[in-house]
Amino acid sequence: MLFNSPVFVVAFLPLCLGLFALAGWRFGPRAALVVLLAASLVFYGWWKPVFLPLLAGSIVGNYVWVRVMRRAMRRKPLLVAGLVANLGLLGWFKYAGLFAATGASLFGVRAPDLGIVLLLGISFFTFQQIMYLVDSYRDETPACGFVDYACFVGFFAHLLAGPIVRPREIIPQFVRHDGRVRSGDLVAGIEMFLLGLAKKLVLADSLARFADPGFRAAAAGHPLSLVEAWVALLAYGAQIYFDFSGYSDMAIGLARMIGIRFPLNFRSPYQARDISDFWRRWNITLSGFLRDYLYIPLGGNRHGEARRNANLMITMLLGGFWHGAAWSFLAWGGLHGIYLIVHQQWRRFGGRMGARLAQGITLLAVLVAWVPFRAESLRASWIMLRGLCGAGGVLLPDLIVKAVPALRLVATPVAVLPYLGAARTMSVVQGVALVGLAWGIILLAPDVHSLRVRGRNAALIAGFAFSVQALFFAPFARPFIYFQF
Amino acid sequence: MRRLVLCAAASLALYFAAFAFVLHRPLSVGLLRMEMDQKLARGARLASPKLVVLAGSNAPFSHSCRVIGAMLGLPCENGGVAVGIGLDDLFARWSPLLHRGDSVYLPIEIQQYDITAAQNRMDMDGAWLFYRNRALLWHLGALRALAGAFGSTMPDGLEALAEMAAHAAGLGHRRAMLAAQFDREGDRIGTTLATADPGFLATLHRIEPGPRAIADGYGARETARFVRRLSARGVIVIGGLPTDFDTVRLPEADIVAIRRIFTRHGGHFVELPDRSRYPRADFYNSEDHLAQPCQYLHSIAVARALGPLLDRAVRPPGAAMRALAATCPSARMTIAARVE
Repeated sequence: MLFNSPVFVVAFLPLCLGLFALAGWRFGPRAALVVLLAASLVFYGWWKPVFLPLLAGSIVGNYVWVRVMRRAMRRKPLLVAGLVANLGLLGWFKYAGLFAATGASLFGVRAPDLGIVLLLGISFFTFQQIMYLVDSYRDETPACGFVDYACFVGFFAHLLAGPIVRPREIIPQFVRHDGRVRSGDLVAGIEMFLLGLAKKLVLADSLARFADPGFRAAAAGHPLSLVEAWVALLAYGAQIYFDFSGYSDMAIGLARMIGIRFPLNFRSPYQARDISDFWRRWNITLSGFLRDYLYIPLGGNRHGEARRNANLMITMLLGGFWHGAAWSFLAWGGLHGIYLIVHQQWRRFGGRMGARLAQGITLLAVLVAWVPFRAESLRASWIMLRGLCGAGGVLLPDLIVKAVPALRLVATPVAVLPYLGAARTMSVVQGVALVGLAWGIILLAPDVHSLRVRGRNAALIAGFAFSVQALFFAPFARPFIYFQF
Repeated sequence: MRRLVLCAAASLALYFAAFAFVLHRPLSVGLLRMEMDQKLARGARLASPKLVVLAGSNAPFSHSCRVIGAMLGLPCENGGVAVGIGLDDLFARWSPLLHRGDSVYLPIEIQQYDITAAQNRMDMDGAWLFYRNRALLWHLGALRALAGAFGSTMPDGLEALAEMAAHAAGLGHRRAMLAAQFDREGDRIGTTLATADPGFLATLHRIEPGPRAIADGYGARETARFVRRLSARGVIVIGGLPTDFDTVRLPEADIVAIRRIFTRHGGHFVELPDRSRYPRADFYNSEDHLAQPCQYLHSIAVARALGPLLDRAVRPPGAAMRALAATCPSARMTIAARVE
């Protein structure tokens, strides 16, 4: 079930909130949490009920394992076994196909069909449980009842795509929950949910119409002209931000409706001054996880410059690979690893530059890195990069060149720009205007969480009607980008 | 909560007011509507018996009323505009203009048959009708009217602002553009082989819907209703295949499904020996758009097929028409069989 589908908004959510409040009022807080857990299982099983036992088994297995580990004299072997089991499950469902295909191509044989379907949300609920396992080993999180733990992992608001929440931040909230739905929380939650919904439906999904054709063309091996390539990349850069931050806002809002506070996951990342700053603003909860559960255990910056750089690169490569079973994600992570190392060296040698220039370079670097992230293959990435450099020519529609003849000096007029939408409508104008508006919001406006009441009112007025339009009248609901991870 | 409700209400009120009274797209959707209005006005002036060709852009790009009308000795209007103008809208506007003894030829694009009711409701003309002709929109049904009221996205709003500004600044003279692009029978002109876009055509790969999708589609049901209604009034309704690349697979089952939409409801169906499939070199800038020489060549074949169904003697095409048709790439191979 998608947060941005009518069935979720008009049926599942009101029913779930109503039953939660009713159970809390009639039978107490434990009953309310059981209702929440049941609703989360329905939410998860909506797509493929066959995966429910796997999710349930993973939650029960981890909970029992941690209880055993807490009582054990020698905890470390149990921790390692728990990590191996969790990562093994993730590896099988997510990476077995890729390794089989890569191995088969290396040996020149046909790749076996393993028949594996990616378990929805496995990357997220695996990381949640690894955190609990490690924090319990370190005695950094208190023991809790099964229902609290199951809600911490399985709560539908963050089950499929995060945010990745710390056990010590969330479990106590479930333990202390009184089973009531407070009007202040409900209103604040609905408001945040609506703002996130507008980001997703009005901005991200509209931008996808201009990002997808260019990347699809590159995947099919067709060259892209300069304008097509840049519109596709800028549209994608804005799309993934509004899509994922919109999802995160919706998750934060959903949790808030029942009085649970999730941490912030985005803080205007494209306004970052440098690449380290970008990673403190983009997918903050994943960055925190990678820092605390990978980079620091690897040694962090405690063993000299070379080791720090190696740790950075390993962290970013694994972070990239976590996103998906494709070598292009590794390339994305590798690029960010290089950016971070270059930035560290720049700082180390006392390099300085103007704030605007630094922000511009950071933004360009992040955008370039989105190319392998979005492209379907490394070959498609190369085609897109060539287009961005102008190697595919500078083409513009006849209609526009006729309207602004000076453009003839730099552009070749053509009847249709094939990867910028329909032939007979002014999709170039629409695409450019939309990309301009989206980047204006991204670069100039504060994050929705920092907005005052007036700003939030304005955002709601601007977005609500368009959200209704997209929710009920768009031909289909577009899944969140991060659902595939 | 009151604040949220007020914001939501204000948002909806502003949205409806903006798209009902202020925002529209004069240079894109508006141009198509003007094309349609001109065609309807000319169609209304034609004396019966007359012939009308209706489809999406396949009609004006790949069919020439000038050729077909001359060969059949009938006044003819090419009433097709574009895929995206809902079939219900198109049929509702043409239906009152068609009388006993008139004929209508429908080479509807195959993807129009299998659209869903939801897709039809969201066709681009809904938003335009909400701005320009709310009475007709209401006539098309309550759900269509609701969808029309909610037919504009945020990018549409942005484009409307850009187009309205450009239009106000004098850019894009719509009447002049239409006069340059269409002849007096509503056929698309100026689509020469020299200005065709073979590079773009090479990238197009369409997969036609299957027979079940065609038969069950909302577009098929809408077409069947139109055929039934007109046939009952004594209008001769003839279905046909749209033009497409000869590399696009069109199974026999698909043709049977399309034929049934017409023949089961009182209409006729013509299938040319080549199934209206041509090499890519014959096209202009889309699968549905033949370049003008090939538009003439195809229309000559269509006129010959329509003649017996309309009980009309088929005259040979004029010398100028023959000469232009002979320059179509596929005509060079079959010129003797087709033109002579």
